[in-house]
Amino acid sequence: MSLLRVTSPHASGQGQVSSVMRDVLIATLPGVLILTAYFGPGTLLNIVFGGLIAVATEYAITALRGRDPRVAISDLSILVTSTLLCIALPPYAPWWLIVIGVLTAVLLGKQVFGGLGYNPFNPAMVGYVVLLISFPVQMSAWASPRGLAEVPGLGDTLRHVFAPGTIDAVTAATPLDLLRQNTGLLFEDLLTNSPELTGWGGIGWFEVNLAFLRWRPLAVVSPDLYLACAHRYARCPRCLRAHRI
Amino acid sequence: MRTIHDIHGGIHPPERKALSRPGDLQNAPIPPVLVLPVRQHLGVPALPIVAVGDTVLGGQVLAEAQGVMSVPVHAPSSGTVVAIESRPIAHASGLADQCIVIQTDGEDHWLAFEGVTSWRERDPATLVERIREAGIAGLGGAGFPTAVKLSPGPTRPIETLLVNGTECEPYITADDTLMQCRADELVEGAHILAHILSADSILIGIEDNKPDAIARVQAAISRAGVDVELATFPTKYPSGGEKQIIEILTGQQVPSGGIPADIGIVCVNPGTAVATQQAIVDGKPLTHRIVTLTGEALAAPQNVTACLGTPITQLLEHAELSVDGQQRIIHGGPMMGFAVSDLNAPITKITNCLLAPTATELPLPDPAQPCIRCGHCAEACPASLLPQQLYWYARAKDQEQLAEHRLFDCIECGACAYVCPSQIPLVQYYRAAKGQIRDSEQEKRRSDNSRERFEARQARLEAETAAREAKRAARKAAAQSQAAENGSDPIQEAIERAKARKAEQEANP
Ligand code: SF4
Ligand code: SF4
Repeated sequence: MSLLRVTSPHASGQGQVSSVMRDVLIATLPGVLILTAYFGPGTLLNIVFGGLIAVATEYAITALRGRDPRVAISDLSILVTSTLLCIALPPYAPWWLIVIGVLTAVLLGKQVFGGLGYNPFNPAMVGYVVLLISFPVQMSAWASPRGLAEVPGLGDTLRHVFAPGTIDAVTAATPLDLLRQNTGLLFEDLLTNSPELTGWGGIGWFEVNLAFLRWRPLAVVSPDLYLACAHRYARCPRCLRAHRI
Repeated sequence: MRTIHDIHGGIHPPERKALSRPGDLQNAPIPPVLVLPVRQHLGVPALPIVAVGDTVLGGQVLAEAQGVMSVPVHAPSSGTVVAIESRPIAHASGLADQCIVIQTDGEDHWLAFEGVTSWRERDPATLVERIREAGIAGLGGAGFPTAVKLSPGPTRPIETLLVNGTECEPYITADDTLMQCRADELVEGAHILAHILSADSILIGIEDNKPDAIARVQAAISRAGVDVELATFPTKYPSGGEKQIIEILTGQQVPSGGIPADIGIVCVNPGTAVATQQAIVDGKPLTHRIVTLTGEALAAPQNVTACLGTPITQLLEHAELSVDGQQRIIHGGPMMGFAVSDLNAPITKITNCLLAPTATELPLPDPAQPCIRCGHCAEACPASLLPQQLYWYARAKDQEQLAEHRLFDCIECGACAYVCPSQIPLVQYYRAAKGQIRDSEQEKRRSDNSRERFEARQARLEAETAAREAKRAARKAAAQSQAAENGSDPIQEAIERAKARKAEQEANP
């Protein structure tokens, strides 16, 4: 018998980086579902397409850096990055916008700093900010919610994304755009007069915000905190109850 | 009903306490050889007063306390001293220390003891002396000399004596067993301690996962018909930390860097209370303790009363350790214990548990991954620290920031490392950082000392020179004043004398 010398603690929880990331992905589900319900399959396509690009990029870069790419992929952090970014992109955004965003997030947001854990900023937000500065028009072209316009089916969605410009755009102003561009109307009038802020559309936005932000408004301030909170919420039904609005 | 407060953080690791069947207490056999380290407590080692070849009786003093921060060591059974030498001891460092080795004779002859039943009439100071002479040091794990704890000084009046029966660490059931089997002694011991401290109230705190211990202690309190409060509180690790249990039961926080006595509380382990009772009422020194032998690598996990100085290997054999290949033997529990590096090392006053887990039971951690700043560690930390920040600063060796983030409030409970999804051995970093800070403080003290010594020497030399000058000046002044008085000049006179002598020599060649 030989004695094994290791330091305390000798017990460890079952936590894994991948389980934290998986929980964050689960936590995005309600928001994604509501986005899809109101705006059609655009967000879903963003997530799937962006995810593929992100995984491929992460794989290539970690291999180039001499790391084991399978380990890097299996912690799921790359999917969290791409998913958070793709949720924030307008549904039916052209494919190249997604590609640029994801590449920026993975390369500039994460890998140049040394990969998982060493990034000073949230990679998804780095990608988002770069896109917002570089392509403001495409980034503010949000689809019209169900009720204001016909929500595209899958075929149209694919065409919107991969052959942009071949069919009519389905965009509308977001509520924040309306508020910003509004010059004359009182807020109450705006609320009652603009279709985007009332009925289905208005409620749609409300629900979307709720689905994401209800986790905790801090998400806006610090994505890291968002990660922590979302994870906790996803795991702990008691917290869900305690913080019900 | 006392309000129970919650502490920040904490975790709920699997308890695994039933494994060692708490409440069922056996005697471990007296081993053929006892190895008694002269330092089983925190502080100055005891000084051996026996010699190789001496025969000793059970309860006889083997080594005397040296000063206040020290307690004596007694023989746990009769036999012959066969060696006084450096032997491996059970310590996280894996180092050896001076030990008195006794070959037992199997007769187990004991000295006769004389106790005091009328301790209420005794002066606290004499009782404290008896406690020191009985070799009692905190049995909870730190081994702090109990006599020192019982002398908080006049500036710290003690209101409450708190018996900490939390035993929050998984696996360990030594205190649970002690509270079940020695409840009456526990209650009386607590009274003696309260009497010594002139404490107004006695509070016994037990975590609610020990219903049997709670029932037996409650029964003992009613039997004694005394005023002792028993408080139970929800199970959570690490509620048993001294600062933690105080906050749970009183809502008060011990100031950072302070001790419980600062807020009028003295906190002892139940084992210490029982040892006190035996020392005072029976006059018996501390020679045995209850040890939990547990882990799935043992075929017969159990709680035993064992002689201090029993080699670890003997107890593991008694509990039927069956392994081949690599095995971890943990002194203490799975959260804060350390891996033993030599099985011949003996158990001491602070050994509450020997844990022999299988590899599936407590798997080794995966290789550490980078910190993802998930914040789980900060949520788990009972001291409300920011473990991930401490981790970054420890890696950067930024001592200023470490102090700023209260590294020394870290109780090394391991809750942060337990929850860390990246499996970072956080506590290891904190321990290393604390060591480095202590080293550099010592370094600074040393250089301060030598600077002070140098300056003192400089000052002394200057003072000596000045004194010499002053003396010379005084002599000169005296001589001059004498000359003035006599109207003669001593120098002139000396010259005259020399001239006269020379002339004399020339006259008589
Ligand atoms: S739990 Fe581990 S990974 Fe998470 S913040 Fe703390 S140290 Fe970093
Ligand atoms: S080991 Fe220290 S930092 Fe970690 S949880 Fe315990 S007290 Fe907090």
